[in-house]
Amino acid sequence: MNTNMKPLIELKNITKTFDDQQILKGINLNIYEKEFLTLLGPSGCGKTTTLRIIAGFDEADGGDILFDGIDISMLPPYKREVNTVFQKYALFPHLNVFDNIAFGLNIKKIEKSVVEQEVEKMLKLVGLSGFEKRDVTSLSGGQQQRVAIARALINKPKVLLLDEPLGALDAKLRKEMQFELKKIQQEVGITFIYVTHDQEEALSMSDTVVVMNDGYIQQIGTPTDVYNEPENRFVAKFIGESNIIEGIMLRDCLVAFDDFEFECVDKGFKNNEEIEVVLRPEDIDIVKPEAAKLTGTVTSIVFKGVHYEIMVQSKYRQYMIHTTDFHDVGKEVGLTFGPEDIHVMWKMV
Amino acid sequence: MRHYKNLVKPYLVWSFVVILVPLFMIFLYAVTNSGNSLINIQFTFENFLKFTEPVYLEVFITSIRLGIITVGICLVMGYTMAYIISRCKEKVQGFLILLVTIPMWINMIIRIYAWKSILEPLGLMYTDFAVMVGQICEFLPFMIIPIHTSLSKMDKSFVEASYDLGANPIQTFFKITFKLSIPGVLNGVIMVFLLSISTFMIPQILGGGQYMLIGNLIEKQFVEIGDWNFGSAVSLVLAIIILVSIRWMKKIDKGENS
Amino acid sequence: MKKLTRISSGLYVALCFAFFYVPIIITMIFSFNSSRSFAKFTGFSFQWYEALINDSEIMAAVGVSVSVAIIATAISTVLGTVTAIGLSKSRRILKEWVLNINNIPIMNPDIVTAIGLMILFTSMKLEKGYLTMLLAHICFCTPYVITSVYPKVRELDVNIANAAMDLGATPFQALVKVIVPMIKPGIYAGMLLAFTMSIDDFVVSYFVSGNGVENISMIVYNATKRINPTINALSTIVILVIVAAVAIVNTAPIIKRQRWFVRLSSNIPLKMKRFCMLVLCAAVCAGLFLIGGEKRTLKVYNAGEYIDDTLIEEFEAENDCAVIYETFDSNESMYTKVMSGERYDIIIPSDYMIERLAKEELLQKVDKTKLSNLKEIIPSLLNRPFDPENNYSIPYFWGNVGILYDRTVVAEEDLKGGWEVLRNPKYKDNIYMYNSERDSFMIALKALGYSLNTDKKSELDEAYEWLLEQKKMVNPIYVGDEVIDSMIAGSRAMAIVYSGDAAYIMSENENLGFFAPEIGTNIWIDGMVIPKDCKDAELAHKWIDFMLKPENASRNSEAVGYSSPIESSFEEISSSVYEGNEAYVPRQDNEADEYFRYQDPETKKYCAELWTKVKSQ
Repeated sequence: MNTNMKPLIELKNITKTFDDQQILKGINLNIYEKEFLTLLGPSGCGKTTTLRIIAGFDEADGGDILFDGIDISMLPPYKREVNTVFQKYALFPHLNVFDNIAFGLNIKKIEKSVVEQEVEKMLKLVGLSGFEKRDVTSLSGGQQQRVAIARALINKPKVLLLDEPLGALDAKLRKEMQFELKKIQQEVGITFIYVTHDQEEALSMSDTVVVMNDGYIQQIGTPTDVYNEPENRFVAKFIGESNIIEGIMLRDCLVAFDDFEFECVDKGFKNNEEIEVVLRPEDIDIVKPEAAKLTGTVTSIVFKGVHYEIMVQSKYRQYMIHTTDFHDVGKEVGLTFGPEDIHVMWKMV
Repeated sequence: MRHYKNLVKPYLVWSFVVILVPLFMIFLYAVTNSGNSLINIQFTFENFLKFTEPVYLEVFITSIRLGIITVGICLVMGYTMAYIISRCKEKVQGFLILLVTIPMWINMIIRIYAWKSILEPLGLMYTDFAVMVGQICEFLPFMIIPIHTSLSKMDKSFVEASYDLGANPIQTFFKITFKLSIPGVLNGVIMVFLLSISTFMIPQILGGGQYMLIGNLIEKQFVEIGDWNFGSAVSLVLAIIILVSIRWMKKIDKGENS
Repeated sequence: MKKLTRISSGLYVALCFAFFYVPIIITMIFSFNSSRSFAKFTGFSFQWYEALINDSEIMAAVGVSVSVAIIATAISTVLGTVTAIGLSKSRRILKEWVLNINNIPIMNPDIVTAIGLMILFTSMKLEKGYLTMLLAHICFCTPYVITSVYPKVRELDVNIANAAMDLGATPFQALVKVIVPMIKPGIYAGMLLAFTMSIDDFVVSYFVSGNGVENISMIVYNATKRINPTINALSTIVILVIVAAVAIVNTAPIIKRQRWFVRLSSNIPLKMKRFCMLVLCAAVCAGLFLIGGEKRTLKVYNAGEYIDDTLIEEFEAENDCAVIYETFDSNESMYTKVMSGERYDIIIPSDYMIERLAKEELLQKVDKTKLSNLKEIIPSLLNRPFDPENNYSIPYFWGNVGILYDRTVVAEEDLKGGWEVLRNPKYKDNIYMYNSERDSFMIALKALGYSLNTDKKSELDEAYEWLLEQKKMVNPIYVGDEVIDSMIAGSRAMAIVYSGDAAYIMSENENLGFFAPEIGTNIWIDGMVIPKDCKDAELAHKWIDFMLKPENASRNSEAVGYSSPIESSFEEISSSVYEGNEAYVPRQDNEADEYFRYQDPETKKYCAELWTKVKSQ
């Protein structure tokens, strides 16, 4: 993202406590126009609370929240230029599809014919034309989801907040909706703030991923950044599967672990600093034992569909490898990886 | 699992004898005029024709009017109460609802008697006011509980969604919260209406003898005048009024939801 | 702003709770009052609790309430649970039918359920009493059990019983060991509901019970007419028990989690079960005792507040018998009850009702040879037109009807108009009429100068107009015995009362005067009669003679305030306790004063309808 741009929303040192439990411990975050930003983290990490504070449903205990440079901390939700797609959609059960979508416009007492046009436009956008009179409770999960999006977007918000909107859908539908959401975002051209605990969802849709844990932001970056360059053990473990190995940074571009020295591309650590190394399972190749520094025995092999997941027991640890080749259990193998496959991180205290 | 099927049989017999047979007998009395015994049955419609007399029509109109007023006041008071309670913390809610229910457990007659002992020294006995106060005090919990149930069951995100879409708290209340609590409201309305239209103790004790409601009319026929035929006809009509209003309310409920 | 809403909603909630609880609390407070008054707390005392314990009628009612509730709950819980389990396995049509029928008692107004059962029991020739009350309670409790258990049964895995039987359980074992424990919450909820429905019930019990079997609600209802702090004491105990029970039930889940409770309760269940069984057995025994026969009994049916209670006990002791003493509101309700099949040994109705009962051959002749005290009766009260030779009735009390007025409010001047003072707009909203068609029509007819026994429709119509106009002009309140306490408290200017009540009221409030208009009033005699179906005529005669005994008659007259028909007693009381009390000595010299006579059914029905019209307009 272009950091020279003026942020649309700025969170400054936001804290929040519920029942003596600190949920947010100082969140600083800039959100830009037209950005698809994802708050990613395990449940209880504070991502939903952050979203609710932006929407105005919860009030922060400390810190400021700026919208277009103006402090909106005290602004009630119905006066904020953001709209939300709720986790379970919160479609009003007593209203039909049309009235649900038209709700925001009706509140603003907009002329009927305009409302009708707008609703139709929205229904077309989400692919539900002709569903106006349907009872929302009779819709499938995916359809409800679309209505919820249309209901929010019709108000032309500057920011759309989505709170785990795909959580209730089955796997196949999720994939479809991910694609669809991204499409809609590009079409309407506004900022989406998306909350999820599903890393795959986050990586495939977002411009920016914000990884959160325990009330703190762990890392902010593009999907490739957070995947390939996790800043700490938590991020590495949470995003994708990985082998995390303790080691020592001998000097720039040279790291030592498991009795061997390996070339790498990371710089900027102190010499001989204790670090952790991330090796993604798909980055490791299985070769003949004599062709590699690291060797071990295959202890298990499980077919995962596209690839096999193979566990190899080496001298110090077990490595997880994803490969399309088959290797028998008990076979002696060697493990290789290139310098660019090694990611060195700060060691977590 | 067929083994347990026969378990219904005793109740089948029992409910036939103590529920259906009495209803049938009320019906039989209502359409005959042979006095308090069922020998020499003579079918007639005159017990129902009696309703067309202004005296009895008046009784029905008064009862229904009083019922509607009671329902109205209970609805406003009860809704406010239920709404405030539903906004409290969960533990507080539990406690407040308990406080609402305790009077329901206490014998109704005892509570009416209690009101008498307050109203008597104040010189407010035997007035419309006394009857209203008694009715509302007795029946208000029956309004609060179902409304509170539907309010507290309601997903908070509906309200948030409404705020989110730009509705202010007042708009949100009328367009969302109230609409969604309608099933509870209807339950409360049915209960209170049923109770207030059929009571005879409250007007009898707090209103004095000039208070003639449907309940009193039935009681008089059976206890004082001894005209079981007319009494049965009145009861039958009362039961039908209640049934029709329940049906009607259910229809509203369904209409709201579709 | 936020603070303001919070404060005002808090205030509102507080007000609502005050509305619920203030009457209850005041009732409780005044149960500790040292005087009868509800207006002033004169001092702390337990006297009403003592009176409560010593009141055998109330204690019997408590017994009835509790035992009926326990037995009805037990039976309806078993019946309801069994039915609910059976229902879940039944065909759909049967299921829907049963559930619909089951809903009838829940949705039907109580009063309809009540009269349905009353008609059923009467036509089954079931004598009204404990058994009918119990059956009725089971009838309306079971549906509540079914509605709370059935959903729980439906939640069960359909294979749960199969699994148990697969593992070797018999169907019965599967039921008791697997299904019942799983639906326990529903059973408990149903049980609790059934118990409270039963113990709180008034309407159904009121219609289906009889033979002196009363529950707490009925006692309180009958007592609401008069101020009676004993009822406050009873209410207080009931309220405290219920509040305690509710508190325990609601805090139970919290207590159960406490470690000490878990430790304690690990060996309690068996004891608890035994205890529950014991309570149940006790209740059943008590119930059987109440249904079952006792020693020689005499069933007396009298108007309310119309006897010195100690006389009953004395009579019981003297004759080694039990008196079942029941009271009625009016001659008409007495007649209805008798016609609905109730049996009594002694009834004490008024003159015209005696004539009716005699005419309808419901009475047996009194054997005067068995009455040693007959000679004590004032001669002018014998051989009156309603029972020319006193073949059927022996006088119990006598008197007339007049206007009780507050001398400080009502001008002597206004009284000169006779009954018309009751239509004087000066006293709007300030008049009590008697809630009885016969008495009200008597006043109107007399005011118009007609006979109170007229059967001319034109005269009755005029009387109706008179009453209607009165209602429009002064908006009187039609009351019964409530008038006694109200007039003692001086809450209205005028009231129509019987002379005897007037005598008592005037002895408590010296501002009051009593007068019977010159134009004529009703003079009456209430007499003791023996119905044809009396089971123990000998004992009945003993009762009559006992009441005629001068010293008993004096005590009775003194306690109740009504004029004794026994010459010596009448003279004694009128020159001692009620000396100078104009109401105690009804005039006997006015030609225009009349006794009520039997009304032919047509006239009676005509009057009843006119009266309903007056009241409901």
